[in-house]
Amino acid sequence: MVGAKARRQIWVSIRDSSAFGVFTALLILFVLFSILHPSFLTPRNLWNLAISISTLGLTAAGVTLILLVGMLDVSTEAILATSSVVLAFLMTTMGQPAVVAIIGAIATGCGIGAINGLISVRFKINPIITTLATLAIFTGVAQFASGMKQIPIDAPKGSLLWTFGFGSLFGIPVQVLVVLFVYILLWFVLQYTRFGRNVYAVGGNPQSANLLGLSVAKYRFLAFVIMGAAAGTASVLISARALNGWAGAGQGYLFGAITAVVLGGTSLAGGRGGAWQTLLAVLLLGTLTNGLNLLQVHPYWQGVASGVLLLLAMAAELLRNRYMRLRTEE
Amino acid sequence: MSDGIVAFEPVAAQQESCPPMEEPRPRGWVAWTETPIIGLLLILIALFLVFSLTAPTFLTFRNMAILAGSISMIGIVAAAMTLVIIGGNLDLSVAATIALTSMVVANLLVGLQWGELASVGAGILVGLIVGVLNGLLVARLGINSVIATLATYSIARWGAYLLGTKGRSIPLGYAEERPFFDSIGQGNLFGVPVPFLIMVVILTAIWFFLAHTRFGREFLAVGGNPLAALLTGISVRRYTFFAFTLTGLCSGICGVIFASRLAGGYPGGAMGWELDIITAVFLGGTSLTGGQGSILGTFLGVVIIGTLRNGMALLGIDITAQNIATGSVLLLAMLYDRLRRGGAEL
Repeated sequence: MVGAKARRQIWVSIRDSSAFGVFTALLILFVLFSILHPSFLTPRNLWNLAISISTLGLTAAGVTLILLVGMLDVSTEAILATSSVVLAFLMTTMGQPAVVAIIGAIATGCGIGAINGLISVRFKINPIITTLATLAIFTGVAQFASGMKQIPIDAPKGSLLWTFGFGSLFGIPVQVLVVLFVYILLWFVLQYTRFGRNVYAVGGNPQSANLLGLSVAKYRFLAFVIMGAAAGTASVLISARALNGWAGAGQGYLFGAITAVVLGGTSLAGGRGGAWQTLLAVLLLGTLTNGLNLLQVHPYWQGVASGVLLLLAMAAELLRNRYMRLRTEE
Repeated sequence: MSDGIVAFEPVAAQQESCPPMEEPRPRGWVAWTETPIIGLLLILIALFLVFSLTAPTFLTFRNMAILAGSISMIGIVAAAMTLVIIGGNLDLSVAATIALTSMVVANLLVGLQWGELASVGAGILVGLIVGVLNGLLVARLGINSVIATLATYSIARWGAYLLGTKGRSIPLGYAEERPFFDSIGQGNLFGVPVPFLIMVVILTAIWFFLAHTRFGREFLAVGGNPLAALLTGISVRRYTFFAFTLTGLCSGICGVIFASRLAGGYPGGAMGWELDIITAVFLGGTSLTGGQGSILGTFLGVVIIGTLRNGMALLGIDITAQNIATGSVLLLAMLYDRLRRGGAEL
């Protein structure tokens, strides 16, 4: 039997978590959009909603890890663009099979992540400046290599790349399965492995982690590489769905991913946050976009709203910090 | 590792372990060689030589006037951005603010038929409001500057699109005479483009602030180092708010010049300018950790970036390759700075 006091403590800890706020907002949005638009709560629309959030979800998973180790990566859009162009280039110009092209795209992501990691961790250059520079460089590379044109990919129905874009397994889209797999993996690694615990230690207090004998540089470098891999995988999903490789593939993903991660309560200072909070926030963002599109709200207004939402997420995080500090002082 | 251990020692022990006082800082010529100014001048001369030899139209009066005009827009914002970066922050919203201002000015002039002076004033006010908002978010609420200005970037950029019908740009047309407004971006005074003069005034004012006022000097010394600020009793918050407000104001001024030079409001205008502006400041030797910052350096950084873009455009190198070059310059500048101070783990 759980005592009344213990039950109250559990309730308080749930109420104080950022995920609770996101979950409540998500429920409210679902009820609201179901009332406002008849076709919101249809299997077809929910299917579309699930697919639309999968690429953002993948990118956000990488960003979560980067923030947890106390770094920031603004080159996400360039990684998506370059990987997408590499994928299309390998399949069309080089005539490689889809497997090689997919591995090539993910490897490209890892490579750019490794460059980011090498410069900001080894050379100790501010990660924002580093990734701002690689953002410019690799966006330019993708644009230059593709000649600012879309490169159509020929993927007949039933082929591997087509399956990634349009296939489904047990009635669930493959894209969604990929994202669920990545999140379960991330959650498991962060929660139950030595690597995960060390990630929190490195982000929470780098000096102490260093004194404990953890290599802060190693974890930060690995986080950049994994971020690159996540973005590379996301670019495969984007290109497979569009059947195109193009330099604009990543447009808007940096903003969306950072908003989702911050909304989920992962701290910018590092060391606090987690995988499934981010997934909830991605779901919230996706639902918002989907509902506003159904209600025919203009994308420009949605852009303004997303900026306000990011500010609100930051403000909520600050309020939460202050509240927690007050509670611990009591 | 060592910082962690030192922190637990008593203050007296720390003082004993301090290295002996350094030699007095060299003055005159020797002092100059310690700053990045000489290096920047050499790079600039090399760029000028290369471009005058390869592009025949580079060293013409006409092209120099174009160069001066395009440099000034970047330079006005970069001057204020120097202050933001000294404080350890970044402002990513500047380019969107420039576009928003240009849309507001064009809307007021064409749509609402406001007078020139009122429209220009309102445009600068818009920039100021964005700056104050950024300042409040970063200095008052303590939100990470990259995230805060990313949010205001989004609001300003999409707000600019909302101001045009279906997101279109607003051309001003040449039917009406607008002597004051046109002269802001296109006029000449004694053969020098007006925007260039505006930039020189703003650069001088910010240089004076940093070098010759107590507030500015203290901040330059302390920068974004919170411990040093605590020990000297300087309010970093007040300074940060001031830096962001000034950057917004300068972006507003830049937006008015942008609207005047391009004769219209462009919601997608000034795309990616924050990269050029931030690169110029870092190229000039200003560091995010504070304690280092030079307006002369920023000016030279701006001229180098502007010359690089101008020369490459004359050589027919397209904008994508120009962006690759600018990004590489930013990385090389940071790497050089790191190697010079010997902080890299190679």
